[in-house]
Amino acid sequence: MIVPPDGLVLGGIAPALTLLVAAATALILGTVRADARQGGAVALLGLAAAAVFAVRNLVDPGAHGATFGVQWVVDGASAGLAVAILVGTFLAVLLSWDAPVARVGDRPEFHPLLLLAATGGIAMVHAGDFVVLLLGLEILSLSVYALSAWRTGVREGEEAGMKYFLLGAFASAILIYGVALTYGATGAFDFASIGAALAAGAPGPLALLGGAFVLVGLGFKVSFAPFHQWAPDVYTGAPTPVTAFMSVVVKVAAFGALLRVASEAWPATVPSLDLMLAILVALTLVVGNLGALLQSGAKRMLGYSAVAHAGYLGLAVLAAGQGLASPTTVVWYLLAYTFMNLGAFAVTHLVMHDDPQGDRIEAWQGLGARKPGLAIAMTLFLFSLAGFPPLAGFFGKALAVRAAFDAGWSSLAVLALLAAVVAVVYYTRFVFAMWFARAPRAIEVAPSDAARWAVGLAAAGTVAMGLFPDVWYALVEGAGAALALVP
Amino acid sequence: MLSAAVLIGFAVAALAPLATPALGARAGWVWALLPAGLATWFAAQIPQVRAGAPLEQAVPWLPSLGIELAFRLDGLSLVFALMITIIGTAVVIYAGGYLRGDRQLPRFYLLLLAFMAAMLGVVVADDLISLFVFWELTSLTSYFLIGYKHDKEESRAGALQGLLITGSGGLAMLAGFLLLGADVGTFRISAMLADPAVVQASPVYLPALLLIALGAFTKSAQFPFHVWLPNAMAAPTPVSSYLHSATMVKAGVYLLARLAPAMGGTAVWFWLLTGVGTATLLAAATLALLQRDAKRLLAYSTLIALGALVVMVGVGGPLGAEAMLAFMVAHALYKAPLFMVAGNLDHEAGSRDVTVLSGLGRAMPISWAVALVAAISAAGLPPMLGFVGKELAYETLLPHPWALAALVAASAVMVPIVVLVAWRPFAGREPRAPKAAHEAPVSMWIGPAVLATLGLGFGLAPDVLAQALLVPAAAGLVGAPVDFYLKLWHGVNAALLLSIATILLGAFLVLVWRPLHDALRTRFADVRVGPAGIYDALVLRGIPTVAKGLTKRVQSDDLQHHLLTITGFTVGLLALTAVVRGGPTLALPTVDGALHEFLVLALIVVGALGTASAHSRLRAITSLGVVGFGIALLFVMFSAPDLAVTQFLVETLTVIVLALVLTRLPSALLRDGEARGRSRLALVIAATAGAAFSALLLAVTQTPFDRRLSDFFDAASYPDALGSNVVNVILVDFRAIDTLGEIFVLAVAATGAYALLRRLGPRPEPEIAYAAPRGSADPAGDGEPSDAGTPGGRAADDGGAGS
Repeated sequence: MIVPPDGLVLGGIAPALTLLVAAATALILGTVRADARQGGAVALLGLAAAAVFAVRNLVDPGAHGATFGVQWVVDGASAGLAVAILVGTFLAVLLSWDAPVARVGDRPEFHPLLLLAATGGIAMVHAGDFVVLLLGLEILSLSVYALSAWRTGVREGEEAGMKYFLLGAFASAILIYGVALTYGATGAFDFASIGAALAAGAPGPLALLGGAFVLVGLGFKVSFAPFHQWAPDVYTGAPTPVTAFMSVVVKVAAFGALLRVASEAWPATVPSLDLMLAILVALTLVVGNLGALLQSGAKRMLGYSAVAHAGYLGLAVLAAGQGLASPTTVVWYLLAYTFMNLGAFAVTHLVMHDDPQGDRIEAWQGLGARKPGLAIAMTLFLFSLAGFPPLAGFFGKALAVRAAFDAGWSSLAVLALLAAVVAVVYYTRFVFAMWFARAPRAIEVAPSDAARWAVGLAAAGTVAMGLFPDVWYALVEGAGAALALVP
Repeated sequence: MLSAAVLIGFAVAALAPLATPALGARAGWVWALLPAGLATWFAAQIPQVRAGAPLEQAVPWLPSLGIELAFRLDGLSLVFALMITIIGTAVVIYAGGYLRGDRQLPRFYLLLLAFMAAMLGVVVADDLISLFVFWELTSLTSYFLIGYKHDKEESRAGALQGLLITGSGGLAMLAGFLLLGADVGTFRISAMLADPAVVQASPVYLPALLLIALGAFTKSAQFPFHVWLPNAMAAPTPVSSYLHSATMVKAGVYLLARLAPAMGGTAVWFWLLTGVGTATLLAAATLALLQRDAKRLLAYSTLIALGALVVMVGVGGPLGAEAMLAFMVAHALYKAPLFMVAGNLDHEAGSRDVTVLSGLGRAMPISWAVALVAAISAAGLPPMLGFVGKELAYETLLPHPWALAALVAASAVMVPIVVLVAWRPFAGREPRAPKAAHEAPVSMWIGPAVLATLGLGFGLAPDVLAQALLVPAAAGLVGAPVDFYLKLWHGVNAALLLSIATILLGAFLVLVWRPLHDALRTRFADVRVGPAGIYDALVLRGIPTVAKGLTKRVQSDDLQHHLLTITGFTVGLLALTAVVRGGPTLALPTVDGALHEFLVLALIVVGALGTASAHSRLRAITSLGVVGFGIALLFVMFSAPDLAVTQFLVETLTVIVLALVLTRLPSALLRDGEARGRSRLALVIAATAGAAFSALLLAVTQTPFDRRLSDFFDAASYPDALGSNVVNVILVDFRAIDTLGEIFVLAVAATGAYALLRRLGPRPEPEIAYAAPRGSADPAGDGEPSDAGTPGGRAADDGGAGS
């Protein structure tokens, strides 16, 4: 349903508005009484309420359409990705419930920043034009820059935050430049009009350059190689709950935006950009997987693994952008990724237990004997990330590779499978340490029931999505993964 | 029902860790009820399957994409399913005795039962994706089971090697499946088998076949991927006998047999399978002579059998199918007992080294009897099923003398193997063993005894087996109904003569075993070439080295390096796309202008060069200022005074701000030595980027300009807004709200900056020295390197942490 231009459908924007209200509430309450529990509780409530709206947007066909003059799009893809963002944020709040990051007394901004970042992410995935996309991107990015440098006085933390900020600003500038050039070439900001203008005639150098710059800008956010270099540093430097949060929410939002841009603003009739994307995907698969191979710290390994997964997601985006595979593949993968990746970071957070070096592979030795529950959960997450069936990650990778085959990128698909072999090695190293190595010492994990809940929920999601993949797939696909937009 | 038969195994497996401790010593017997019950159920399906009505069931899994768990039980699947459940029963009981009191027993049963369920899933799956899922599950459970004794280095290495080889082979297989399925439009195996012409005419037939065969070869340990199987012997014996001889390693053979009607019959198929199978036979037979560990000896004999099976699938036809099935059932029935007896030796006598043990027959009479019955079958002597299978195999290969010769030679090697495993440790008067041996408990001989007896029974009456199972199974392999009778005694024919020759050659090998073994061991002691060496070099050393090099190259901790990469790659990407897909054509602009314009231009160029070559920040900023002011001058010359003023203001402000920041940064840009290498690269990238942007500017100026907006503002400014300066009118009238918004943003930003400055106050020293290279001047002067542990520390982490 396309709403008349002068009608505003507030239902579509309700998830973002709810989060905004929650963020403001938490911020104001925080100035009255600085209490992390209070902020966390407000955040959880707000997220749950926002999730109700997002799910409603997903299942209610009446909610679908574009509003605010095609600037805010509600369809299966955007509503589904909003759900993924909310799930990721919810788990991250649980994870940080007892964590020192949230306990710092005089800084009640922690939870509001998380909520604002999620709001920005939700704006990005609903964006129907470049203006909303940029707004969402900046809201998300600025919040995450601040969060990633949360550990003040810790050199790695400050360095990571600063580096992320500088590089991020550089990438944003490139993105904006690209948007400007695209506007210059097509005279439009909204994806549908850009797509129509580009499809009308052979795109000139301006459009091509604009597209390339947009690709580079978004490629930075989704951590395509070689624009991925911030990822391992920032993942290591940021407090683990923040890393868990950003590793999924930033990725979901940026891929949501890339998916929409690739499938609507760059019609399949425009060659060249698909080639650039394909090159980035290939490079990302190689660099991410080989880089992860050498890491002996879990956070850094997961940082490279996040790069590697960007490669698979890129494959799916590539195929979906050409209209040769359903965008649902990307949406499905991103929720699966949210569960398994956040879960892996959650266990890492518990195992590290405030020790900055506590994620090294030695710290995992003997976890299977000492803390079997955590070890089983981590094994599930890692095997799922590696793509073993019947866990969620298997369908993610398999659907992406299948999409690539369907779209005719056979060589990339084969490369992706080869890379999956390498991935088996680096994930199993940690599984190995947990189960097959003797514990050198007694293992203490952070005492946090909330964080355990986060691990449990993420594990349940990882298994359930593997066993019952169709529930989520049918929901998103049934909602019409992407609207054919009328400008 | 069929899906329940597969999935119930997973459910029971999930119970195993909880219930095993409570069951105590009875655990093995209780858990054996699962495979025994399943075996009964599968046996009950024999009449229906014989009647040519396979059981079928499909459970939707991802129906939106047409992925379902489809199961189909036909004759071929039924043989495998019965083998899995019957041997499974024996192994589960055996494990209860073998691992009695082991602390990890609950986990062991979890994995073993889950493996069994997954293996059943592989053989009854009717959908390629389902098959792959169960296939990888068997690899995973195998990984944990090989690594079971995890305090041993060899267990850990063996587990990883097995997972890497079979797991990656599985992924290759998945690629083949996806390729084939996408092309023929279905992932249903039965649909592919129903229409072989479509599969063989497919343009992707060859790559799909190669990829699928790669999966099958790795799983079934074919040359040159055979290396993982002997190393998997580090697993506890129940695992070796079950996974690594009777069932999992046959999954590859099953897959090839399953797809034979659709993909087989071509020349590629024949040469690929017979070639690889023969190579496996010969390699395994040679390497078997080097072994003295009972389990490793048996592992190589398993390789011989697997090679023979692949050859027979490759030859195909009714006879090939008959031979392959009889040979395989015979192998399962003799190899599992032999493994379990070897386990008994290890368990009761403390060693598996056949050169150490002897004279244990008196202490372990039942084990010896079982071993002998199984050994006779393994050696291919009548009246055992092994004899029937081998005769049929010889008969099948008669038209292919080179494969036949290899099989005869390899079969001859089986003779010394079984003599070493089943005779030498037991025969003799004086018991010689590391510990006082006695007979194993009943749980450890009942299973092997039953299996070995079955081998004898089916040898005496092979047609019972054939009519019940092998004939329907052969139909699945051939793709058309077949009919045959099996007899123990075929009369004197070529196959029998070859059998006699085999035994004679084998007897000769037994006689010369010791000197031959010693000679071969000295000869091959230090050889690290061959597949195992390649595995080591490639996987254990090669990939990490490449990864290290690559990571060092693309991943540094240096911000400038990151910026360089991003810029360089963007330009490269554009250039490549322009080359591959064709870029815009550019016309060179005509050059005309007055002298003073060229002078300003020269000033800008000098400024730009000065910026690029500056060694101090101050100089860089000043030079950059020159560029900016030069551009402002150009604006003045081309009558855009408002732009020029803005430019002057912005430039001045930028220089001032930068100069202020300067006071808080280390003075030198880069040290000379370090700078040189980097600046060369930077020069190239900067030059390329500059050229790209010049080209872009040219292209932009040549793009027809869309004048709609300009015309509108031109026409509307004065009449509507009463302003003669169009720019001003746009800013304060047409887009007034935008301007207001910008002012707000600036105000908010300024407030924020003010708040931050007040809160932070003046800092005593710059804490974060991004641009400072290693060992640069220390601004704080406190003697501490300003960037300790930043770039260097973590670059080392990236590059050097591989194990």
